[in-house]
Amino acid sequence: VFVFPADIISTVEFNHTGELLATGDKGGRVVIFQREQESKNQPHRRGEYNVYSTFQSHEPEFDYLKSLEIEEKINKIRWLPQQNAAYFLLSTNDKTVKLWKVSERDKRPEGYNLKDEDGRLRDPSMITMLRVPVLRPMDLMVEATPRRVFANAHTYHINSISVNSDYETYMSADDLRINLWNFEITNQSFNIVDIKPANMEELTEVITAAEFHPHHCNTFVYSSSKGTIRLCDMRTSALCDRHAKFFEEPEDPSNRSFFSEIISSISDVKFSHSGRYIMTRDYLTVKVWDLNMENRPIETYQVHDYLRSKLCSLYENDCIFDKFECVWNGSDSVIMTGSYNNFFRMFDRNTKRDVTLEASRENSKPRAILKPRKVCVGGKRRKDEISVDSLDFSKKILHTAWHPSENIIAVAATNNLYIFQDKVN
Amino acid sequence: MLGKGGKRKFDEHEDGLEGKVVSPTDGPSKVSYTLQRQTIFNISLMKLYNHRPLTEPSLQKTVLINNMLRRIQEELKQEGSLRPMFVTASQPADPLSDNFREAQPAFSHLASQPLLPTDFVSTTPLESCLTPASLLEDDTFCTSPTVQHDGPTKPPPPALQPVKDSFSSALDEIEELCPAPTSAEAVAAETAANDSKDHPSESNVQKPEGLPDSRPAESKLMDSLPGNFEITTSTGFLTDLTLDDILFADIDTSMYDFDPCTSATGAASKMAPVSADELLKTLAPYSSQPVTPNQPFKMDLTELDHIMEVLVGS
Repeated sequence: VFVFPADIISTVEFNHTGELLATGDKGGRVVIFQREQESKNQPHRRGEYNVYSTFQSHEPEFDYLKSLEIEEKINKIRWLPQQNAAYFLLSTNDKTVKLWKVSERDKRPEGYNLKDEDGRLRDPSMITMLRVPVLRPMDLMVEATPRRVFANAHTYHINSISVNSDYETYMSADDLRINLWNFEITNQSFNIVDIKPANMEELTEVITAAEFHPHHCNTFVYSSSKGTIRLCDMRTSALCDRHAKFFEEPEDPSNRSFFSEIISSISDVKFSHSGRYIMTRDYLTVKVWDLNMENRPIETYQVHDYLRSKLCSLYENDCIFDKFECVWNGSDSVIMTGSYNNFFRMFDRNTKRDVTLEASRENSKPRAILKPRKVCVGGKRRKDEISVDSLDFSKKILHTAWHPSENIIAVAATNNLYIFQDKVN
Repeated sequence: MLGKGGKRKFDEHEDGLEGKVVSPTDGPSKVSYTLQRQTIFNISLMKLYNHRPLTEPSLQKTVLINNMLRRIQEELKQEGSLRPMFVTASQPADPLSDNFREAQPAFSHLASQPLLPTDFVSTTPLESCLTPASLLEDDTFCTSPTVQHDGPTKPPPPALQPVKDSFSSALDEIEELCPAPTSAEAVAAETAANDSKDHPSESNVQKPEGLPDSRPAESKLMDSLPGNFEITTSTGFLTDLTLDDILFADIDTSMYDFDPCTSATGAASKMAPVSADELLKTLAPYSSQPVTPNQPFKMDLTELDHIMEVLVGS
């Protein structure tokens, strides 16, 4: 099946109320979905998401100095909390962060003195009287305008952006540096983390993800390619090169292999809504850490451990470098992450139960209940199971999102977006 | 390799003693470890140098691959420094397999020889090393060193012969993936020489004096590489390898010819255990020629540039 590369979804994010869902794709476009208001007339249309706005956020650029293209792919979208009628979001590609304002227009002024309704200038000699323009209703129009462009602050590729709880600042992180921005100021940013060595030949570790604490505006974490997480406090110094806390799990000697380092590289880090825990995703597992315990995670969940014996092949075909994201549900009781073959996994932290589901058109009809899937790892394969060798590694679910308060999830499978809701009787 | 495809039927017989899958407890695991390491090394090199993207390559990926190469290189270096101890039978600091211990007394009189004489005596069935791709489907043996030995810092010394096997098959792999024949040779030659180069100064095969001369040539090498993340990281690796020392030197291929597997180009041919006499015959030329002249290792700068262009895949 041929997929236009530009259509591949590269990020998914609900806003703070869950009313809006934004997706970014490889072609630099942002598509925003809005949840339908529940109406008494049509109770069965329980808050479906429909397209609300589409706009081109980033365009491809060319770096003439290095003779390389700068991809327009949207790496991350983060919403700002709503403070007026308009919606604001940050979207970023590898180099540039943009602040977009999405607003509705349902009225327009009519009755200008100097120009026609078409906009053409009127002949001044024809104007004989003065009138006051009035606002008249029009068809709803949603327009997106770029309000700020934060450029030229990153030498390396931006992997994360995170809005601070003060709603005045945000940070952007690339492979070696993290910058702090004020929303109002685009021509300068503060560098708060810099791990670039003086001699690049000594570089062995990069920053892979970063996020602000949901409540403490001075605290943030960043993860590395060596499987470590550092928690920093911006009050201690301007340059947060010294961490306040350092989270690392000692290596399990029985699982040691050539690929130990690569599979320990953290692809995503997320604070829980409560702010008490952080969740990290590495190639084979999801881990939950208590902020008060640095020497090991409190929970480890196996996402697809059956891949452990295939690591060499996955290294060869580059799948081992796939960056899976992970998300919390609204109450921090369930965590979700993606896998291959369009599978995604959910882990209930309380009951310790987990489920594997598939996002594919063939296997699910609208409003049908998803059937749990299972991967067979050896021995006799049961009828509904899939063997490891039959998995399609080109169908990877890297990006998922969970509604902030309800059991609604958005799952991006290559170029398709799936939205699943809890069935209510 | 992986992906949609026919399901593999579970074959009970495959899992037995004759199975091609190596279990950690028997001899071939040492061989397989080396084999896998070699293959990963080759794959890593190709990832770094054959990739010519339109956009800047991922720094994270480059760093991880580079770390992999460095780790393997460190292992090889450590093994290189350990070998003379075995040859002189001073003390086997390593926990060794029986195979290795048996071989030691036979070669004690060859104490001055820099190569891996003991490793040639391998009575283990070698057909298991001939098809790395299929072997690596199930990477169970990649953890075997830790199962067998005490610490990860002292990996078992590789058997050179199976490594040579992996060369032919790895060569095939590389040639499939990389159109430029020179780079395939370079990789194989480089890794071959890396093994033999890791012997200490008593080795006469590699001339250390060649290094200072090649340094300026190397910095020029780095400059001509395509710009990506201050690609110094990957060329930093090149510095360690002193690539141009080995790249297009006249390598004595008698070592390769000695190995019947090479001629079969990876076919699953049966291997006869090598006798000590045969090995002595091969090693004789190395003892009589004490100095490999420096000439083969010196390169013209312009030639280097040309070679780099080819390597980089113009």
